Amino acid sequence: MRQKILKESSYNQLISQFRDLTESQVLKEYTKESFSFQENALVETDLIVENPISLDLSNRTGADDFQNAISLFETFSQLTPAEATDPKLWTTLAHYDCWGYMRKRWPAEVNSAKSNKEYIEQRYFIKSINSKNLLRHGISRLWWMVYLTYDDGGSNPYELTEEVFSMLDYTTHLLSGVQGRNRNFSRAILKFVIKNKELFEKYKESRVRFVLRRLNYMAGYKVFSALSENDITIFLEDIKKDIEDISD
Amino acid sequence: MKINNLSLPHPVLGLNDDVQGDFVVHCHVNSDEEDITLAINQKITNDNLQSLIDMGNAEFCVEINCPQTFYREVKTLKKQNEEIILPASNFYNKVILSFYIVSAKTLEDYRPSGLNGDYGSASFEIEKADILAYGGETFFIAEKNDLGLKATKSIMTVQEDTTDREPLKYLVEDEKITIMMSKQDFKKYQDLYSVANYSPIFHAAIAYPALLYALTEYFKKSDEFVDYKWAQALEWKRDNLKLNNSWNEQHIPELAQKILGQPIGRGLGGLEKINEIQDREES
Repeated sequence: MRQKILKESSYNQLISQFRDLTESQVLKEYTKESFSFQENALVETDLIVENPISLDLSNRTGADDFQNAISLFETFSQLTPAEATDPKLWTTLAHYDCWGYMRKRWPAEVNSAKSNKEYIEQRYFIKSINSKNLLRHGISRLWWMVYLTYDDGGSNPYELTEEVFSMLDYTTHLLSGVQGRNRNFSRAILKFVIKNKELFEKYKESRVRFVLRRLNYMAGYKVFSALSENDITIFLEDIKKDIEDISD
Repeated sequence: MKINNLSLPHPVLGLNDDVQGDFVVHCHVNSDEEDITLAINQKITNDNLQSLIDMGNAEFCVEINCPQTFYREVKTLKKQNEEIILPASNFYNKVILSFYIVSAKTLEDYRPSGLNGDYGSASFEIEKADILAYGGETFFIAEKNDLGLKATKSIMTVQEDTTDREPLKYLVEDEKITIMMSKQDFKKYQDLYSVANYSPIFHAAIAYPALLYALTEYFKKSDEFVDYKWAQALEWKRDNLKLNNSWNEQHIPELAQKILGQPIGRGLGGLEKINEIQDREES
């Protein structure tokens, strides 16, 4: 079957209506059992999906994010990076196909944002197309986190994906960072952390942040993208002692 | 990577007057639905660096960076004239190309020919991927088809507001510059838009003021709009129409006119044409 998304005019109308909602209206709209669209608001795309999307609803805290991400990625295995920047796709999935999941995983009535409106805008819409927003949206983050870490060179193509879901720092500092866009860079770091489990057993957040800081410093005078994954791994091996010295 | 304002730990050809010589790069971009082709011509005039390249100790490279699709890769160039073909599906909107000569291995006692006298007798230890020469930066805009729908090149959109009669509003906090019309005005707009003779008048009366507003906001706080398609498209137009020298808030009306292809003149031409038609019908 072909995936449906909001038409341009319907998408623009949804955005316009959302902008005009007050805080209490946002809460009312985004705690409904289902989100309704007008007839003919959706249009079929060229994107073929074998089966309808099915995301696990059992856990609100995100423990199932990793499995849901794989499920979504495999459903949309034909999506290209350019297509995956389309806010209409992710907005449609959040409001229509995956509304039940969104209600459970990113409920409007339980959040730590400055306002409900801001929270919904971050999780249900893509306000502007950039790495931070794509990694923040409730559905697009699942696809992009797999796409950026999928490694068909190993026995388990999702090994790096599982690591990236284990710690929030990876999305906020690695994948959305300037150097993190380079696959050799992000792969080298993730593989290094996985291979050196004992080194990162304690103080993992601080030690990963230290590694990123050191590499970003080097990126000031090197074209990091010109280095191979192996080059970066060798450097990481050289600073192992320095990493060990980090204790929060 | 913007390195123009950096103080690097070793001399770099193309940065200030560190090293004598030139590293000049020309890049032509061609794109279709499937591929983007970069036709690159590069030339270096520095004996020492040329010799390093010939021996395989340094290499030309272009770093391709598309922030919105998380893409950042380096392609190495072997020849003075070379084409690089990239799949268009990897890119959306602004794609930044940066040109370098980088070290391919560790170089002990690096001291390029034509080194600025300020460096005295110093020599430098260079590691792999360190920058030896900088050939500048450029960018292009990669369009894409909207998931099976036709791509639109417009940076503006007209939409119906929820109010019945309120004045026009302009919104710039989105991918396109949005012109919000009251229900009453929007209905008239929809009824009249398809009339060919009215098109230049719409450009003058609706698109031109919207662009004036967008440019004003852009120059006030351009960092805020850096990710939006309309801002990136305007910057691409700036480079394409060679408007860099006047790209500031003092020249907003002139810039808007040039970007839209003289909308006031065309609007007056449109009115003139309507007048002629009316005169003919009356006579």
